[in-house]
Amino acid sequence: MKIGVVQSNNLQGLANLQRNREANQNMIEAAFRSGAEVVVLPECSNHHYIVGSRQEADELAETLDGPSVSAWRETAAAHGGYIAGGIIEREAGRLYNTAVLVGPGGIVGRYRKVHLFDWETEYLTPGNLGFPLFYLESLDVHVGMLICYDLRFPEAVRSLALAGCELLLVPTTWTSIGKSILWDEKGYCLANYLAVAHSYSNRISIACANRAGGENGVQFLGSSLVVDSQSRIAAGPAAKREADVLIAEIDPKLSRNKRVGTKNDLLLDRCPGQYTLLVKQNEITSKQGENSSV
Amino acid sequence: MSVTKLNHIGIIVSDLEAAILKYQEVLGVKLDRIEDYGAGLLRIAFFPLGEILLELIQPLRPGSTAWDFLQEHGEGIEHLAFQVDDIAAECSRLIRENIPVADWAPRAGAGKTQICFLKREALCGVLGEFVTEGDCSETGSV
Repeated sequence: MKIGVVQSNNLQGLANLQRNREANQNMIEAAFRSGAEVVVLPECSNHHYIVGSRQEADELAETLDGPSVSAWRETAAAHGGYIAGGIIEREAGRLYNTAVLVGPGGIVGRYRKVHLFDWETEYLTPGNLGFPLFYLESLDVHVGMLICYDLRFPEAVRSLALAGCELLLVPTTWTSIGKSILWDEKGYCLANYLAVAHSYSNRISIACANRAGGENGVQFLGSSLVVDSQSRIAAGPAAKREADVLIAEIDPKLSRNKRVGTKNDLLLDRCPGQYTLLVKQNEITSKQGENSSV
Repeated sequence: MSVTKLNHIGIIVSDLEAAILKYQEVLGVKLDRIEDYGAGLLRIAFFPLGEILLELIQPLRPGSTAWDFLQEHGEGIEHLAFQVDDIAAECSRLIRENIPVADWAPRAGAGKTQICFLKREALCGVLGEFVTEGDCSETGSV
């Protein structure tokens, strides 16, 4: 199957929402014209990322029948494809960082970001839907979604792999916050290696859609990429500082075979009895993390 | 296709005041104005020269392609800007014809213009910009 990744370079401010929607729509259309069957957009797809107040977050927030999701639904229906995009979702007075998956028949499902990052911890509510899996019948593929900082948590990726995820879609905003280096000498950012590592340890395909540009002194890293189920970079990293569109041919069904050689299996070889610290609460890690950056 | 003329030449400099003095001294051109752009990203000095402008651009902090250009190449010509009558129509045409663009919709440029940058591969390694005179709602990132 062909997957498209839209790397946005959004302008800041409510006044630029329409311009951002237009630019991102043009990139979605370009991806579908290139044959993409699934198109992934960045986290908070159509607006700036850095939010300074609860009021500002509320002004940017939408419901699932808001303008962003409605436009994606129309576009997905027109092209017979799927779109995964990000919004600040408003529901029952709470705000969530949400990825929405739409298809030709409408909304397929949503995922609410569990691991909130930076300003999100002050204004948003952590996800309460777990790590749901969605089956796209026309493509015969099981899809999971994580958002940005979620990818730092192998527990989240493994949870989806155990549920049967074959293709992981990651709307993201990889930033300069807390980074020792932004890009290495090969032009890769650290999250690029993270995606490859998750693919390697779980044998899944991963498509990460980041944004470019910068806001309030924070640099966004671009470098969106697609990793196939055999942990090869199928497309990207995209441009570091500009909007970009990636198209990759991948076969997520290869994710179904977790065998390694003749004697091993990536999921069956797990030893949950040895992983007792993983299911304990955070008292150990929070003490260790008091003086560290993320 | 409606490029009507060369609008300006974008020249990256490391010290705007020193560059202004140099251009005035060497070329005898007269400074029109200086603008801040992109919330502290750039300072730009405009020199009319016949029907075009010379734009001396000093990147002030990381976060722009101009900053990257200065780090990688030092001072020098960074881009050529071509004037078009209808930036929205031209931007749509570029996208429709799969010409590599950095801006997928027009945005506000310096000097009350609307702009759309291409990627270097579109013009054989030259960074090109389409520009239309006319105000836009808000100045965004570069």
